[in-house]
Amino acid sequence: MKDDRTPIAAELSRELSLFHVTMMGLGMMIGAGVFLGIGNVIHVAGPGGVLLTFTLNGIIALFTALSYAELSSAVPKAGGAYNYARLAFGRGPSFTAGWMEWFASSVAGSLYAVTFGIYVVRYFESLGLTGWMPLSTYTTEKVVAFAIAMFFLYINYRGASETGKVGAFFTLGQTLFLIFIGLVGIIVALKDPSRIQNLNPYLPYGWTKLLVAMGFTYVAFEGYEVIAQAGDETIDPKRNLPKAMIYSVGIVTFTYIAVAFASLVAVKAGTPGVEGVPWEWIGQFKERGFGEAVSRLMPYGNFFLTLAVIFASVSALNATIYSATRASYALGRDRMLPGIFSKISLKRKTPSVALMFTGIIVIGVAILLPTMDVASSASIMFLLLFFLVNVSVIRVRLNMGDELNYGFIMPFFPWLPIIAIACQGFLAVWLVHMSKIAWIVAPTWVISGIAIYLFYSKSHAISTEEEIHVFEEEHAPPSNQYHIVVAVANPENAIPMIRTTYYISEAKDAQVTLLHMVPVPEQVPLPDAGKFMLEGKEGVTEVMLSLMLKFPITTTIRYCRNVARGILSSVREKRTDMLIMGWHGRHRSHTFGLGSTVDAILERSPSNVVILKNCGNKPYKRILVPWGGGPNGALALEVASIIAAKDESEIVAFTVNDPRRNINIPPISDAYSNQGQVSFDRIRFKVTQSQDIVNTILKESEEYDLVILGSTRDPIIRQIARDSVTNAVARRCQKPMIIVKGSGGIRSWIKRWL
Amino acid sequence: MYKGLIIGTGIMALALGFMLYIIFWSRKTIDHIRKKNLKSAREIDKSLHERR
Repeated sequence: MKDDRTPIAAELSRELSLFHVTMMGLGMMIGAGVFLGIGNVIHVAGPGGVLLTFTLNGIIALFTALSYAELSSAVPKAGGAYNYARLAFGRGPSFTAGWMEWFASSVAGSLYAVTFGIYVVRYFESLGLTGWMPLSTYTTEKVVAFAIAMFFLYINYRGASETGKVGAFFTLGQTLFLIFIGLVGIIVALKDPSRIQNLNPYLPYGWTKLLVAMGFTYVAFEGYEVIAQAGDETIDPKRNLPKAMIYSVGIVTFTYIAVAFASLVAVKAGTPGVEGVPWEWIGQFKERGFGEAVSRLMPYGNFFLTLAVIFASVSALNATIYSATRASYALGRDRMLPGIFSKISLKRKTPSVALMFTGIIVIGVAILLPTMDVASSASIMFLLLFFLVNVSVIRVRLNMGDELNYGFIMPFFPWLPIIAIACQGFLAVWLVHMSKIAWIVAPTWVISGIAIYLFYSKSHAISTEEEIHVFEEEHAPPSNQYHIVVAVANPENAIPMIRTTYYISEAKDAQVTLLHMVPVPEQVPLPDAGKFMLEGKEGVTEVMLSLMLKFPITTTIRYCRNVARGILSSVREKRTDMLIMGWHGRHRSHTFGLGSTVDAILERSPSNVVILKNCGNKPYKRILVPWGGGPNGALALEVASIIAAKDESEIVAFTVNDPRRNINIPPISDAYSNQGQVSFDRIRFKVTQSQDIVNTILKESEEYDLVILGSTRDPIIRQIARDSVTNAVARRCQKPMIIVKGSGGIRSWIKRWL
Repeated sequence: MYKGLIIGTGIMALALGFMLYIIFWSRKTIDHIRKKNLKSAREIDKSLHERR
């Protein structure tokens, strides 16, 4: 394949501080939407509705911001959701994410340019300064939109520092204005507590209307995407990106609530010009409601509000152009789009070509298309992006948590992203009802992206360091046979596994795949990975020679940076029923219970796992199975029975009762009710009392040839924190040992998918 | 008459309290990770368990 990479000496410059990136996020969030939205929300959901809308949306937004924060701290590169989807799901979904991100941000930019045009023209109209102009109001608005878009395209071309500083100036202005309004509202309410009555009835139209209001104001919380895009240009990104995301959501939520409260208490019932209940009076003005309320709160309120909308539009326009440009730059960088998109201006150190194409979309949509409908489809795409990011954060943490260098991890993992997924799914469905054209534009853009991916990006994309590459692979014909994958590291590791693998494969009438993952050190480029393949190939050949006459065998050799992730990926891909692998038994790090590979396999494999330690090829006449109940213990007895049937062995199920704990260990027959291969006639039961379970098992094991342990079902982190009995025995036992972990049920299904 | 107001204010107080807790926890965690030079999610998780 032709490599069309061009050497690019330039890179983006790091000039943005925590203040700058926080302001960029705030700038994108506090667009004109919130100024126009407050009156509408009061109209739809009532006085309590507007307060709850901003509170609950803020919480949902915070959950997604935490996902962005975690991922951006681990992958601080321009590209945002595109990068995260690439890590989590590979090329196809990541291209779609980047493609949607580019479009959604560009169209949001068009919306802000048009809003700016409308408000500037209205402002001059109100001053009587537009009479001399030869153009119609509509055309003038479009000309102004074009001019402001060109201005900010130039600012973005000038550099990240200029973009951040100019944006920060506008954002700071509008944020201070909003905080000022909020403070005035609070002071007014403190001076005249009777105005709190304006909040009653709190939810006059019920909870359903609250959800409606949440749907159309959620866009006012979309800002962390632009912060993620600044990964290449932020100083100390692992610290500053997550902080900026979390701070910006917090600031914006409290500001919105304060401003909404100020609007509600701004109007006193019974004053001249106010008919009926104050909140109804504000709500009847809809988009203008906030302005009418503010004009009652302070002199020149409407004037200041117009200025705030203008400030908000330009800061949001600035942020969206920045975000859209970085999204298309990232696609070009990885050759998902032609490499020219990643061209960086040597003079300005900004992605000039990506900026130019973004400018074409922003200006084209602003001038030619019905922006509100297209903006609704952009909102749908933003919500789909957030959905993807929330799924990605779970998948990346589970699959690559040991490899990435995180600057932040979220609390309550994985529950917060799951809640965010559910809430945003609901809001995305709701947005569909707001614009029918959105249902045409959004799928059209996504489908065109899929077509570009299939016909261009798929064949041109550059491999990333995290991908798993197939060296050699034989594909077995599809069958319903039990499928065992044997992970082989080298000949020394392979030979002791042959006997046990043979027994289990025969008992299960299995089809066997021999897998060798080539671990390629970080400093070695992946194209040179072939040098590391030789030992593994020898190991595979050894096992093959021993098993191929008896069982259908296929082989696969792959390379990747992390062995555990490579093995798990193969287990999922090949729909494996059982994974067999060896363990050297050495324990080097206190971060892991048994080791970086074994821990990950036991924790995340969706199939049954059998791990062999110090096993040889001599027969085992006495087998010890420490029995504490549970499905993994049952699998241990099954494996013991398979070996015992061949070696004519005796099995002892050994239970240690700790008199201090009143734990009821179930009888074996209960745990193993309907699965076939346990030879109960070979099993002898032995129960003893001891407070020191680990040492009692180790002492007992000295009399046996083989120990088979069922792994614990506790999460690995709890095992490390409390060092589980299984891990302690596994590390210290000198006898040949097998550790097993069973699969099945909803847990395995989730693990297979994730 | 004020039932809605009381329930609504209660929900807001809980939500905003939770939000503040998450913000301060996150800030503390980011600084903790930096100070201890932690890297993988497992290392960080373990260290946070110990911090508790």
